[in-house]
Amino acid sequence: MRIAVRYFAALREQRGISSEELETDAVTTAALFAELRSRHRFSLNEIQVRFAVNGEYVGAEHTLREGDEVVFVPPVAGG
Amino acid sequence: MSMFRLSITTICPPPLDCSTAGGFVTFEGKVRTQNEGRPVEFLEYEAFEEMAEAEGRDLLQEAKDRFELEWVEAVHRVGKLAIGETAVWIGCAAAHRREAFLACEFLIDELKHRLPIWKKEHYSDGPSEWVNLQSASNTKQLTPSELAARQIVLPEVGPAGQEALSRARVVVVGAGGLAATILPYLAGAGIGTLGIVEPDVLEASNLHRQILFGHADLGRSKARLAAEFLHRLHPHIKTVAYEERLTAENAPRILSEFDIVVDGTDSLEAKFALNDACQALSRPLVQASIYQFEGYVQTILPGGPCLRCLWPEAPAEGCVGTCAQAGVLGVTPGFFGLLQANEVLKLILGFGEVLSERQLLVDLRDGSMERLRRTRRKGCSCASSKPWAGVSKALNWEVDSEQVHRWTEPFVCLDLREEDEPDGQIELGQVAWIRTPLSRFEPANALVPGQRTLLVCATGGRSGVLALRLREENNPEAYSLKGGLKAISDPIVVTGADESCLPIKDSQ
Ligand SMILES: [Zn+2]
Repeated sequence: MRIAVRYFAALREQRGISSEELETDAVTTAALFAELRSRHRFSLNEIQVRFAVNGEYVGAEHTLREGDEVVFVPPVAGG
Repeated sequence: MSMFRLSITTICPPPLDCSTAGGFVTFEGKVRTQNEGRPVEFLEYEAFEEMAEAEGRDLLQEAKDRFELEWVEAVHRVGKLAIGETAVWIGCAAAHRREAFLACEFLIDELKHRLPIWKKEHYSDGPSEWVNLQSASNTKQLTPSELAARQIVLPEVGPAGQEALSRARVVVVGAGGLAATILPYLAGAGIGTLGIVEPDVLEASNLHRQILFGHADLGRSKARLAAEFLHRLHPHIKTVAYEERLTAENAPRILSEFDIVVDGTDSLEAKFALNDACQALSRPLVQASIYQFEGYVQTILPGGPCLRCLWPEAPAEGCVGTCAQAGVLGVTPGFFGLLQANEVLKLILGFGEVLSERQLLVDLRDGSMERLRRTRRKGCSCASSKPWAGVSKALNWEVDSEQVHRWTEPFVCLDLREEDEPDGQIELGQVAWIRTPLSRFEPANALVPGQRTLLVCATGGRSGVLALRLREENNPEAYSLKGGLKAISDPIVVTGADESCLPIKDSQ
């Protein structure tokens, strides 16, 4: 299925772009992140990142659907 | 020759050196055992020396000219002072005693008010903080409502909102890049008390984003520099500078002094500590975090959703980059600090929607913004927090017609509408209705001291501002009809406005 992904903060820096659309077979948010993590060598793991789908924070085991917009939010602390 | 100096040692009063003077008055201010009911052990004074000495010299010269003094000198102590020691000494000599007395009183009032000198009280029953002496005095400058005239016009603010702002006590934890915009905009809006918690001194690497400070300030306490900056903006503000790092131990003492807490820190540890302390103390926490060009803002209300609803355990500090490691442009924290100031104003004024159920994500590279809904996590400790008590609002000068009908005390209505506006009286139970266009309003003519007065206008805006101003000028019986004449749904109109009504002052 097709999913729109947005990378926030350090993840954007490591991915090099802030958003993309991609094809995936991942069933859950955490699985999608794990797939992208191994592809792009993100320093953070699934436990350290939070997931939002269609404007709402969801859990790691949230089931993805065709056309979902996913945001990956790492911890941020600057000020 | 008039002379002002600061002294780090015990003050030895200079000898009177003026044979033409007939009256010589001296004043000594001493450290006493108590302050506001708390036992004092000793005091510390610290001055912004160059400024204090220049200001002191100017002030002495002013007093000399004004009271025709023959001679004047003053000394203010700095450093550590024990009980009984002299903190300030003033000597004035004039041809006659009256001028010398007057000048001496003028000088002690003005010295406290104008000199950039900080006082720290060390209590035997607990620690202390630095207080700027300037804030302790009554300024005779613009009133808060004059300063805020442009925002009082907003229906979301109004006189009631402005009063709420002036009662509000807001503390900003961390005086860095976020605070650089949070603090001046909160001061500008008329927040009455601003606390600043910051242990660090100013470093060169701070200057590109911490725009409250300048080159000359390097090495000085950022908490006190920020407070001095705010005083230059608005002398009315009470500032409290805490030169310490916020910890779980000192958080209850510091944060419970304030209504709202703003997070200007830059570490995960501090952000979680603030989250926990604010939940425990039932204070809203306005939080922002940034990374290079991106960041988020959220307001955490007591009862959540809180930071631990999303992150039950604080992530390891090493898994996020600080500004020092990742780099940041000055505009980024500045932008997010503005959003935080806006959240504080919404909390106090009650307009719009605070970001308590959502988190606002912003990317300054492309200007994109996104709000992510946050929800409470089952079992999170925030569920047991007591709700926020809010900012105390004793806003009783705005009354609606129902309240007015319950008044038993006789009152007069002053109709502030201009001559080109509609006229007509409304029956509210008043003993007199007097048309007093605002453009010609003079308190001395229109008000009788002690007489209850209800100010009315078309929509309650002008009457509200005027009522607030009159209250500031010690007219506790001035009220404003909330919403104005427009708000009275079923008015009993007394036809034919009587513009020939005698001014009430004539009845005295
Ligand atoms: Zn929570």
